[in-house]
Amino acid sequence: MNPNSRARRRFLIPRLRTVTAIGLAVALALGYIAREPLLIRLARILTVDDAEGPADYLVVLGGGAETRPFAAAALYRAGVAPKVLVFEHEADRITGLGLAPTHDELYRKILQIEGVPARALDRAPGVVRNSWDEARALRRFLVARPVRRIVLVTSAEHTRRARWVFRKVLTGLPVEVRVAPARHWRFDETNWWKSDEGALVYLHEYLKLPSYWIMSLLPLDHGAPAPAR
Amino acid sequence: MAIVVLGAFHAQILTGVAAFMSVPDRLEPADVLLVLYHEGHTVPFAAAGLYRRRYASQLVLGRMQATRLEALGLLQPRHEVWRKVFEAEGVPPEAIALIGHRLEDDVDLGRALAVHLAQRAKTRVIVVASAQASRLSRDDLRRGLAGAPVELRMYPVALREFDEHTWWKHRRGWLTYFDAYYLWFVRLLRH
Repeated sequence: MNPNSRARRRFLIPRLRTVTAIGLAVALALGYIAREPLLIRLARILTVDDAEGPADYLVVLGGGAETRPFAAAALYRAGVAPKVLVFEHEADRITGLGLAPTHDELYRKILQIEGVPARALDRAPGVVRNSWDEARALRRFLVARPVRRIVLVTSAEHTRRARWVFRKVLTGLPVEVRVAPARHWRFDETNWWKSDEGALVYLHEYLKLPSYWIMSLLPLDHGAPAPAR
Repeated sequence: MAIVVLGAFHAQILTGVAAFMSVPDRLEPADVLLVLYHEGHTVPFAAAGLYRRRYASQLVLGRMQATRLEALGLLQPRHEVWRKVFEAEGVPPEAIALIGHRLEDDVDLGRALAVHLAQRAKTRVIVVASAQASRLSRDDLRRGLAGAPVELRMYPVALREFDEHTWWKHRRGWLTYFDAYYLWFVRLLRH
């Protein structure tokens, strides 16, 4: 290395470090100042709302009894679809002791209290644990039925992933998948980081999105038929 | 070199990671057992076991803010469900005390506990909680107690599937401790 370039390095490197440090500090300060709009934007990216009637089924996904069946009942009353489909989830120990209703029983009760008659309720076959299972169960349910459009009803932060998973698993069936968000009771996109529950829910969703995408690339049976060659 | 050390001592390191979130104290007879609404599969059963082994003569539960489903009468309030678990496990009804009203969190529960124990002088309380949540809960309870003369003895209960020595072999173990550290960090930022 000649003396000129060595001198230039000696001149440039400390200044580059200083500029980088200042840049980082400014970015952090701006991030802190603009944290609320940033956090709201992060939450809104996850929410999809393209529900539109008339649909054949409102499909209420499991895991959010405080919100999802209530939102589904409101859509039913608004005439978005004439039928509501629910899933049966694995029972836990408290349910096993008879101290709490099963998932299916609870959803049915809420839907009926909220104005959905028993004759408008259907149950997808099998017991499910997660969104993939629900999508597979729905596929089995839909195969023999002439259904053109369904509206998935799920928590706001789950809508984007749910629509993607269900569209993937229902590939090949002539059914259009739409989603409707059910808003949480204690938080929403504008304040989720202020409660433990909200902070966990949105973090989990941002972790699950890439993990589901990676899983979809693996040669596992997600319920969809093999793509045509 | 670092990779070799991590590989050789991974079990000790990962056990230490879990142990930070779990804060066990020496188990000694106490005035009451405070039972937190953590894992329903394990915590109430462990609390009933401590009662049967005569570590305390009273089990204490908080009356929490009703959820939407509880308010509609579709689910029983948590304290009622857990009370029934205790009774099914052999705890007599008169040994179960309910404290507070419409409690939001463990800080509120700490305040209600201070009121419940206000008539007594120095008291010792065994807090039965899930292992991974015991540090966070202890911190919140202490804030609620605000200097009241109550000695908290934490009794962390491992989940059914794993404990501090095996959590990394289970998918749920990673999720559980990831959540615990994340909440710990989020609360640090908030406070």
